[in-house]
Amino acid sequence: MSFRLSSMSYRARLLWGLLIVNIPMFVILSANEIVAVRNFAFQRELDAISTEGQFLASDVTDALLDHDRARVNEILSFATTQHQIKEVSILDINSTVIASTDPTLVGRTHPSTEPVPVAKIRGKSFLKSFPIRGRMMDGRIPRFLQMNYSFEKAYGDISSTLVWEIGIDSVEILIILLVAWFISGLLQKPLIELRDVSNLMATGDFSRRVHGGDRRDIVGQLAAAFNNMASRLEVLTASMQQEIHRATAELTSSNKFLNEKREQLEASNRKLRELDVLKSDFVSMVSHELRTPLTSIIGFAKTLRTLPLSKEQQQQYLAIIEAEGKRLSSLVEEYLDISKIESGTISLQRKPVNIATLICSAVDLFSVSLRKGFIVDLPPSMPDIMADGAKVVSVLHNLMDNAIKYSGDSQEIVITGHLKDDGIAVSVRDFGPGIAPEDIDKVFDKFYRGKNPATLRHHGSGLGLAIAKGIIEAHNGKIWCESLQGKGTMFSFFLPLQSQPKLETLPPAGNAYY
Amino acid sequence: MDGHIILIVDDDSNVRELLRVNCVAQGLNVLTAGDGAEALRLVEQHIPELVILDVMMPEMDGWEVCKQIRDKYQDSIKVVMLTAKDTARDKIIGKNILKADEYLTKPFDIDELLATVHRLLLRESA
Repeated sequence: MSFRLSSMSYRARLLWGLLIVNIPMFVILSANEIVAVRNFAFQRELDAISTEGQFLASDVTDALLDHDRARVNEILSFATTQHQIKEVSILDINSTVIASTDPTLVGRTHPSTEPVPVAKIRGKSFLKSFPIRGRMMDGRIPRFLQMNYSFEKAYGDISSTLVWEIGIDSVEILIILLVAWFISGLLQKPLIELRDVSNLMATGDFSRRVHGGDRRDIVGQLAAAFNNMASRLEVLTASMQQEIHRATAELTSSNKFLNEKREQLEASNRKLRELDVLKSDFVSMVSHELRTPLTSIIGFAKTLRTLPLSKEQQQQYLAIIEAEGKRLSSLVEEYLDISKIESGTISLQRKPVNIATLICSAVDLFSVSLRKGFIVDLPPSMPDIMADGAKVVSVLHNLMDNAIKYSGDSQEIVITGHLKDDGIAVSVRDFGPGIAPEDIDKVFDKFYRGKNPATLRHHGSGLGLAIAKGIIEAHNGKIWCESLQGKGTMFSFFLPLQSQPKLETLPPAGNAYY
Repeated sequence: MDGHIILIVDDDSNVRELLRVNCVAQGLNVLTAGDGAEALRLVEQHIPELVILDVMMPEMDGWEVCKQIRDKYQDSIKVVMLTAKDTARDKIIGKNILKADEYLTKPFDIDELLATVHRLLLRESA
């Protein structure tokens, strides 16, 4: 067996230590005791030998003096009936055996040489001689009675004592070990608790405390110090956690802020890109729209100058030049309008105007020039509103123009005026093909032009409704469109009675390109 | 120049009339179309020698018409783009990608256009 004390557990080391100390101690104690028992037993045997020997010697002396040889033998054989006495011999002065319980010795010199006056140990026996007196026996003079006395009994006592000793010692050692085991367990208990709580602390749980912090001993002091450390760590950790939470929250919010900013930037970037595309489209549209009438004007002017033409043709081409010139002029007007609207610099000449009057004169104008039928439905009286009359008229013209464009010659156009609580609503309804639902949202967009054949037949800048919307919104009003495909379209606008001139009149700037 | 058939495609009726009257005065046989689909139909029917083509038209634009003519007739039909689109990018699309024979911008000089038409038609007959 090879032991490494350092590799053993705390308790096993303690128990080994106890064993190492205890076993030699018990061996020494037992040896001491055995010696004492032996001495005692020997003394007892010696005493017994002396007493018995003296009795025997005196009896033998008496028998010898009486020359009663038979009685001598009788005494001797009686003596051997006591089991401790192994042999009794009568010796002469030369140690020659005269008579003995062991017949083989008679006549010989006794093997234990000289008669021994004191006890002498031979093997497991005592030899002791007692002086006797008497007449000659077989020509020899008896001098000693020598007894060979066994102390097997004493040895038996000693060995049984030894067995007892070993038994008791073993039980004692066992008890000591058990008690040591129990006590070491008790001593270890606070350490185990410290270990377990430390392990918990290692996982971040600082709430547990160990017991025994109120005790005065070293373990108590350790427990108190440990608990104190745990409390401080708990406070420290809590404040650190708080700090981490706060920092995390800060990071999250700043992250959120950054994300929002990024999204804003992305959105405005997108917006800018869209605007850039719109701008290109606008420039391209404007250039196309302006170049087309210019082409006709210049081309026909030159044609008139160079080609020999009939009178009719001349008249036709001059009319084209005039019409295209007007178209150019109105296009330029519209571009200026939309530019003002988009840059927010539109100025309204607000005067009290009567919408009913404006509607009637517009209808008169269109009826005369286009011979078109209008149904006008107006309330008996309509209050004046503060508005820019010329601009409202241009909106009316635009809506009526559209209605005429998109309805058949025989179809009528209905113009309705409504008096509302806070303003006046006007609707222009046609019974044309209507607008596809997916396109309704786009009709007020710049350059949006419907795809139906009626649209394609007519020239237009695609700005009319965008301008109308701008004008109505500049009056704090609203313009909208309702349409059913196949049933017709109704454009309506609402103008408030109290339209306070706004300082910032119009849609956000940023769409102005010129 | 008598007898050459040319096709004029423009969605603006005035421009069409302007081109027509001037080309007729040159002795050309003139067909006119107001949109891309009609133009392709007339090309199919009459196989003109030359097409004067506007770009910005509703529905099918001039780019598409030019592409279809080139796909079907390769170089046998001359194409003159006549458009308000005057950016370098548009000219590259017209001349290099769609292989138009000539690219003129509006407003155009009628003499220049007629000279171009002559040049292309003469080259064709030669």
